Amino acid sequence: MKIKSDFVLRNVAGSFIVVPTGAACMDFNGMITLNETGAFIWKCLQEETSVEAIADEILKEYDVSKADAMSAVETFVKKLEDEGCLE
Amino acid sequence: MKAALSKNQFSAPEATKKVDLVDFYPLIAEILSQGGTFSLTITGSSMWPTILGGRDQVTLIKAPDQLKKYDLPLYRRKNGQFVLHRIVSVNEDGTYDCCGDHQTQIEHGLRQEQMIGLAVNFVRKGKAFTADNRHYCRWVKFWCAILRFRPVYFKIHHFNATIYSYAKVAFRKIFKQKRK
Repeated sequence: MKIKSDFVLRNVAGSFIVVPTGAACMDFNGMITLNETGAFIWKCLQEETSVEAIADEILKEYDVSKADAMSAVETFVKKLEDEGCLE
Repeated sequence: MKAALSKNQFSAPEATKKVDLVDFYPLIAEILSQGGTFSLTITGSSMWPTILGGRDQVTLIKAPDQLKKYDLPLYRRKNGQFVLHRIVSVNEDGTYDCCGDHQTQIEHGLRQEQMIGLAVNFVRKGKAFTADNRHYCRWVKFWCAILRFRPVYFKIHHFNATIYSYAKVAFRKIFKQKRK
């Protein structure tokens, strides 16, 4: 599970924004805004990873139980998949 | 304890998709001012028949200090709206008059500060061309020259489209009867 390399994450005026570049531009009209946690998971997803590995990363950084982290990551990943951001 | 304190509060991750150009503005402004380009699928039909919203894309660069007649800039209206319309004349005081290709109403007195970007590349029906493409330039000059007569073209097109849709329905009915 990995983010398509055509999507670029940028920090503009304090908010995290994802824009499609190259081929992704044709299929994906618009952009995605992420909150801080969203951007954190996005960064994890830039390399091949799994839900469990991301949850472990979150545990290192945030004060949260593993079960909560896992379910949050799953919903987030599902959403990205629906938008066609994942490979 | 110290480690626990240094951990951040967890909030559910959020991803919101946005398509409105107003949401893009800080991003477009930043990329263009750094000398970058920005591609987007246009919306609306105000530039039809040259380009059509939802189907065609344009690539923007930062608006140069002086735009020319027939240029296609992205500008911001006083009410905050973003518009991609063609310059039909440059006035002596340096302001511009713009008009969409699907319009006859000219918007007067647009100032240089309102200009954000300039369209330099187009993708129309999947085919890419630049703003200095010969056919494109010829078409634009022609289309601006007949600005006043555009409604005639629109009417003919509308009439043809209506006839075509009626014909399609009629043909379908005939073929269905034959199949029976």
